[in-house]
Amino acid sequence: MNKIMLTVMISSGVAFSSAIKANTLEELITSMYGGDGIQLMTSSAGFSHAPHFQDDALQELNQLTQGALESKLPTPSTSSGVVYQYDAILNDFVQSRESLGPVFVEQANTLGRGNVMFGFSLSNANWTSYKNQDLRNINLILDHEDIAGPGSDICIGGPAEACYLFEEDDIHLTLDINFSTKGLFFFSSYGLTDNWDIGVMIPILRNTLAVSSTAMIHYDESSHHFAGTLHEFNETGSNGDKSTDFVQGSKTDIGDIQIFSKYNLLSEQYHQLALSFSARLATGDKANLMGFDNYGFKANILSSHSFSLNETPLKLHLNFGYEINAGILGQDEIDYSLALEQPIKWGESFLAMSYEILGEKDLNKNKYTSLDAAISVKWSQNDLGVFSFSGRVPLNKEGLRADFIYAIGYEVYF
Amino acid sequence: MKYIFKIYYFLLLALLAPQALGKRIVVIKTSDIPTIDYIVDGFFAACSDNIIIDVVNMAGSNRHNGEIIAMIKEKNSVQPIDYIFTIGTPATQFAHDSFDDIPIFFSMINSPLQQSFGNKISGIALDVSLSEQVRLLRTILPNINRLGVVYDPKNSEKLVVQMKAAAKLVGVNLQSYEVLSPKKVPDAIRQAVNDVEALIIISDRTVINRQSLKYIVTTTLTHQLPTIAFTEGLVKAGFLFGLKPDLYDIGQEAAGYICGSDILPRRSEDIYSPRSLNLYVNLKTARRVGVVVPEQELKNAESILK
Repeated sequence: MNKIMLTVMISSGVAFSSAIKANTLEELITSMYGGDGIQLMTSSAGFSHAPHFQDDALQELNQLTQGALESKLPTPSTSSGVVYQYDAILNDFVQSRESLGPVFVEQANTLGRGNVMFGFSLSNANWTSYKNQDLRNINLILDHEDIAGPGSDICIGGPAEACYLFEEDDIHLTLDINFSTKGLFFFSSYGLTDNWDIGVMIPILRNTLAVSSTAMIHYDESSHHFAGTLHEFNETGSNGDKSTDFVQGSKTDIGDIQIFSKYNLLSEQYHQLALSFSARLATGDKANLMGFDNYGFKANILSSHSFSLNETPLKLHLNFGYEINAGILGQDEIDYSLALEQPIKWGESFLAMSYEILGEKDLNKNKYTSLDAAISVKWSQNDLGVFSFSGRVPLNKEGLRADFIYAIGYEVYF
Repeated sequence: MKYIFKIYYFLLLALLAPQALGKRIVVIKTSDIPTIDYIVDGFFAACSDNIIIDVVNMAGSNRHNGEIIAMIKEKNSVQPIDYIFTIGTPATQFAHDSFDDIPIFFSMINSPLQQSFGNKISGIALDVSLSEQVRLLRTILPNINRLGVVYDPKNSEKLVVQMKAAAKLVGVNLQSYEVLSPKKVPDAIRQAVNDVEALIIISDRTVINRQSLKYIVTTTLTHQLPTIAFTEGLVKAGFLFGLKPDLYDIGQEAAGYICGSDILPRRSEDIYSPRSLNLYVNLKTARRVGVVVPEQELKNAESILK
C-alpha cells in the first residue's frame, strides 16, 4: 500500500548582515560597531589603551525592538451571518449580512450554530517613530568609558583649566532605522451553538530591520594638544571601528497563535452584547520579534447597537478589554475601541463603511497610551465572501508607531 | 406464535397511534412581523382543532437554523410531521434545503418560479394574476391597449411570457423592455413612457428596488403615465394603483390545502394565486396623471391615498 505523507511546512527565512553577525533581530542594534561599544583607533601619541565608548544608548535604543512586540499589527475581527430584512415597499425579504462589521473592532454577534468562517488578512506596518522620535533620524550620545573612576578624570597637557579631559569626549551617533512588519493572518471561527463561537488565528510575520549609523567625535572643548589624534576612527576597520556602520536582518516565521471564544449574552434586534476570551500562545520567536515568549489572556466585553440617523442606518460597536501577562515587559493592558458602521446596499452588493477608534493603555512599566484611527470598507457580493480594505493611522506617537498601516482581507462563510 | 401476534399488534398500534392523534404541521415563519402574523392567524383560524401546529420563528436570521432543524427532526421522530408550511422566501429556502422527507407548502413569495425551489414545491404565490390587473386597468382606464413591462430575463422571463399570453387574451398588447442590470433601468423606463399607455411594475429586483423606485415614480408622473404596482408600499410611493393579496386569506387558503385535504399538492403546477385581493389607490397620482377612478372601485378599495 502506498502511503502518502503530507508535510505542512511553514517557511522560515532569515537573513542577517552585519560586521559582527547578530543571530537574531533582537540583537541587531546592539551588534553595531562590533557589539562592544565603539572602539576607536589605538592612539599613536603614546597612549597604550584602546579608547572606547560605552553603548548604553544603543542598549536603550534596542528597546524599540521590544516595542515592536507591544505594537500589535492589526488583527482582523470576525463577521456574522445572514439576516433577512422585510422590505415593506417590495413586500418581500431582502437578504443582507447581519452586519459586515468593522475590520479591527469586534462585533457582538456570533456566527450561529454550525456556521463556519475562514479568512485571511494581509497587513503592513513601516514603523516610523518610537517614543515620539523619528526612527529615520535618531541622535544618540555615547560617553567615554570611565577609566580613572568617578571624579578623577585624567588631565593631559597643561594646567587644570586648560588641559584636555579626554574622558569628556563623546561620540554623537545619527541612526537611520528602517523597521517594518508584514503580517499574513489566517483565521477561522466556528459556531458551536447559536450564541457561542470558537476560533483560531495563526499569524505569519515577516520582520525586517535595517539600521545605518554615522558617528562623529565631539572633543572636549579644553583640548589643545590631542584633538584629532587621541580619539580617531579607523576607516579601514583594522585598528578600531569605522565611523559608519550598517546592519540589517529579516525573519519570516509564525507568530503567536491566538485561540478565542465569543459568547453572545444578548441578541435583540437592535442591541447585542457578548463576552469574548482569547488566549495568546507562546508560539512566536521572541528573539526575532515574532512573539512575546509568554502566554497572554484577554477578556473583552463587546456590544453592538443599531440605530438610524436621518434615515441612515448605522451600527455602533464598542469593545472594552483587559489583557493580562501581556508581554515581555510584563505589563497588563486595557484595550478600548469603538466603531461606527454604515451599511450601504448597492444593487446586489453590500458595502459597510466603518470609522474606528482604537486605544490601548499600558498599565505598568511604560504607561504609554496608543490611540489609532482607522477607516475600513467591507464589501460583499452575493455569496462570494467578504472583501475588506482598511487604513489605520496613529493619533499620538507613544510607543513604536507606524504612520500608516494597511490591511487587506477576505472572509468566506459556509 | 402467541408472541408473534403480540409483536404484530404492538407494531401495528405503534404505527397507527400517531395517526389517531391527527395531523401535525410545522409553520416556519421568516420573522416576527405583522405581515407574517396575518398569514399565521388566518392559518390557525382555518385549521381544525385536532391538528397540532407548531410555529417556529427564524427571527430574520439563519443563525438559529441548526436549532430549528434539530427541533423539527425530534418532533418528526415522535410523530411524523405531515407538512411544513413556510412563510417568506428565506423560510421556504431553508425548509427546502433542510427537509427532504417532509412535504413543504409555501406562502408569501413573489414570483416563486424565479426561486431555485420554485418548480419543486407547492404553495401560494403573492403574485396577482395579470388578468385581474388588466380587468381593473380596463375599469379605471377603459381605452388602454398598449401596456408596458420592464424586466430582467434572468429573473422574470417565464413570468413575462405568461403575462403576454394573458394580455393577448384580453386584447391588450404587452410591450416588454429587457434590462440586464439596474443601470439599464432608466433607459428602459424612458423608452417605455414614450411607447405605451400604462406601465405595469412586476416584482423584479433588477428593475424595482430602493434605488430605482424614485426614478421610476418621478419619470412616470412627469410623463403622466398610469402605473400598476404590486404592493401597498409602492402605491404609497407614487404608483397609481395596485392589487395586493389579503394576507389573512392567504393563511386560510393555505389551511384549506394542507389542513383539510388528503390529496396534498406536491408539484410545481400546484402554485396557487391568492384568491382575495385588496385594491390600493393613490388619488394624488390619479390627479397628476389625469385619471378619474370610478366611484365603485374607490368604494371597494382597501386603502385610498388622498
